[in-house]
Amino acid sequence: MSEYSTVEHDVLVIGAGGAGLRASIEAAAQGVSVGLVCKSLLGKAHTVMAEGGVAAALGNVDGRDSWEVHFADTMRGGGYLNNWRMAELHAKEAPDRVRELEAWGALMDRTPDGRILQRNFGGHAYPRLAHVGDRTGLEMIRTLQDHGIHKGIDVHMEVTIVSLLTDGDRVVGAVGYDRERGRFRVFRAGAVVMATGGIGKAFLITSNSWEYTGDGHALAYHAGAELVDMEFVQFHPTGMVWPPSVQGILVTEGVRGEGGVLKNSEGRRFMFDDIPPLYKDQTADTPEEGWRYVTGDKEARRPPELLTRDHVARCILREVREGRGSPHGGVFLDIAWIDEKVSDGPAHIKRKLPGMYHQFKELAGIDITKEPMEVGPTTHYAMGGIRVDADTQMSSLPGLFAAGECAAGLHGANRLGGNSLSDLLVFGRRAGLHAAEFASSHGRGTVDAGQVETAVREALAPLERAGDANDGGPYYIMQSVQELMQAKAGIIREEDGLREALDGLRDIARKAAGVAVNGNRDFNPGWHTALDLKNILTVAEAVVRAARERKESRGAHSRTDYDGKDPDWGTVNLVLRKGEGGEMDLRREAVPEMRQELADIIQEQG
Amino acid sequence: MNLTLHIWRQDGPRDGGAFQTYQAKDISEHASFLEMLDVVNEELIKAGQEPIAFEHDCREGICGSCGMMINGVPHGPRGMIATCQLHMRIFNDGDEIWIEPWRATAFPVIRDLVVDRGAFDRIIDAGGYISVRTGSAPDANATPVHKHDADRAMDAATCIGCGACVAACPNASAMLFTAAKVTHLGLLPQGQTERYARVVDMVHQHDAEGFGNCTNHGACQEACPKGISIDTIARLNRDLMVASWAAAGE
Repeated sequence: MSEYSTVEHDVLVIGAGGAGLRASIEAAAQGVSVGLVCKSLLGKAHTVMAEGGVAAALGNVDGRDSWEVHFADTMRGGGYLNNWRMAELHAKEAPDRVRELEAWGALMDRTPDGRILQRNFGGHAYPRLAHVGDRTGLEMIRTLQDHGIHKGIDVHMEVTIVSLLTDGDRVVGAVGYDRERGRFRVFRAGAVVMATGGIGKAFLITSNSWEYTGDGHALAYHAGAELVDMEFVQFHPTGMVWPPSVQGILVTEGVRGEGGVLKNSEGRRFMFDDIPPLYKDQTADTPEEGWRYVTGDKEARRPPELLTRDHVARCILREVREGRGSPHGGVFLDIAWIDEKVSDGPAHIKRKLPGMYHQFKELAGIDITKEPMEVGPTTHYAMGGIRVDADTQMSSLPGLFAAGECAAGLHGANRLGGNSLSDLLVFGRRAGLHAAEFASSHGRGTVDAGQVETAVREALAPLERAGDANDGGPYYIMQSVQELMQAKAGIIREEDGLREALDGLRDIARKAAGVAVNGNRDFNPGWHTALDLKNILTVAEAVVRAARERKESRGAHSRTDYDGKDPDWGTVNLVLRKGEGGEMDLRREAVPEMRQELADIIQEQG
Repeated sequence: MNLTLHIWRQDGPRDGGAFQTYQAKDISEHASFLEMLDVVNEELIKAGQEPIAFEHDCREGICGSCGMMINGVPHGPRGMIATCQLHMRIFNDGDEIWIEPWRATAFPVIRDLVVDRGAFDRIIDAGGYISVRTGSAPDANATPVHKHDADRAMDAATCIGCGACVAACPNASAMLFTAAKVTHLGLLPQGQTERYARVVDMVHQHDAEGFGNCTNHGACQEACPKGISIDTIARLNRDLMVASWAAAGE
């Protein structure tokens, strides 16, 4: 028997970003005991890096906004593959969740009369994003963390979960290890909330940090839960491309919201060259109209730089591939030009975008008030994830809930900027609430010592194996997955590449199964990486299989061999599940028919 | 460029530690400081030695995970940045760099450059929040906040909890951290109810954790990657005095 300690909670929340914290707060408020597991330190989650804002139809800046418009915008952005019930709940509840955050002490930028200010963002019809300069995520996580910290939540920092524990179908806990000493910890719980975020580290260029190896997706999948929409990976159009050490770091859409324009090496505003028919009526005809829009003219239409992220990313890639890119393989994003429009442009830019000014100054040695930035697409967000019930956020396994990025449904084929922060507030709360109810009515499950033993044995295997820890080592294997996915399953995909990706992943999985690491269990990053490999390979395979199956281009999924949307595919979600023999089963499932009143709203909003 | 590094190595909180010398070879001037350490670690792993433990996460200077003393200065010589934002281009070929963890009784070393900053969480736990019942969203625009107050509160709320203020302070005081929180919440209408109890409880916890007193050196504001001003400490002192007088009058 391996040694491990056992901890018991009514609700176990895995992941301590916005969704996990919000779920923990809500569960604790129901009076149940809550354990919160963080892969790194409390509050250091990815939510911190969200810059633009949180989308909520408060209507503070433009009274025409309402939940109906937000709902329709979200569905349009998602190519109508969204779970419409989630989109409805999200649009209706987001304003309450933002006001609640304010009551907890969160700071927001203000209108002159003291209300919460809202800004424009891609795909949103009206100014809708409540924000704090360009550091909204930091403020949000800080508020949730400070508020959550006095709720009596037990926080397990620097603990990585390696396996979920099941009793029949029901999820009853998890096994993890602490990074510091490599000691195993068994969590016995009445319900488990998965809130582990995304899968960005499956790609080479990403805005995600080291934790984002798809842990929640993979843990749920291996326990038997269904994944959905995995082909939809969002590439944020503007990441930094130079210098190499900062490649992939996000340049907020807020830059374009404040008037920043995209130009190619010929100085042309190429976004005017290709405007999708669906958005033609909402897009400015001239640069002049675009400028009026970003300065708040309600009669003006938005500049093409603020089209949906998938479209902007593809346009940038086109410019680069056709030889009109910037010196380091991106395009130019220019905010400095607004000096000709506003008095004291540099001061204006520094006030509106302090984080961006600082980021480029320190990391790239570029003064964005004087010169353009170089930007290119970066892997940003997984629309796909654990399939959940819209109202309760419970997965296909009883007792397993999911919220935030690792859950799927709200965003469909493409997520609008600002909808992720509102997503994690609305559905983090719902997951916490329903997990607490489930735990109260079902009690704690029974942990099977055999499952614990297996999980511990598998986790220790890389340390006990003899092998070449260098060329075949965990870092090299991780990087080979990232390179393969970047090249074959990135922004632009086609059949041959996806087939090669699948074959490649199979070979890499074979190497990963025999990976060996040096050293012992004490704070051993090599060992930690070796354990992340299973997760990263699982989500990579899910992305590739779903991408190969969907023979059309929709939202974030673009196929050169199947250009454009196919109406038949517009009513189908792809669902993945682990088969009896351990293989990945994929099936098509029809999108449920929308309630008439919601269909009417979409009709009215156009 | 090639560098000579003197790095503090320590196995655990109860073990002794010492500087060890390493050579960092062929480091690109475009690399970040943390990437330079990654390169050193790769060599250590290849040689079958234990890699140097250090914290990092967002690489954007916003999460507050990273943090180390570099040539005796928290987050290095650049100023107004976190360690992850430090780039090698500010160093010269042949430089010697001394790297060590934050030094404070209240921040025990977990391993090498990693310290336990749980004391910060406990200070927040003592009062750095607004108690509102969860589950009842307030009505629209119930608490208008003046833009001027919101902006000033934000200047204090930019704290990322990295601990550089403690590391810089000759007294290892966490007063700037505590004051930033007290200032941020004390400026907001929704923070008024608990304003005076908050400052008393947080300062009490600060002292109980073993942080030293503030004696106005000002080293903390120089080290703060977010440029938080010691004006916040003046605000804290004023609130603390009001709270003490109120308590004495009762």
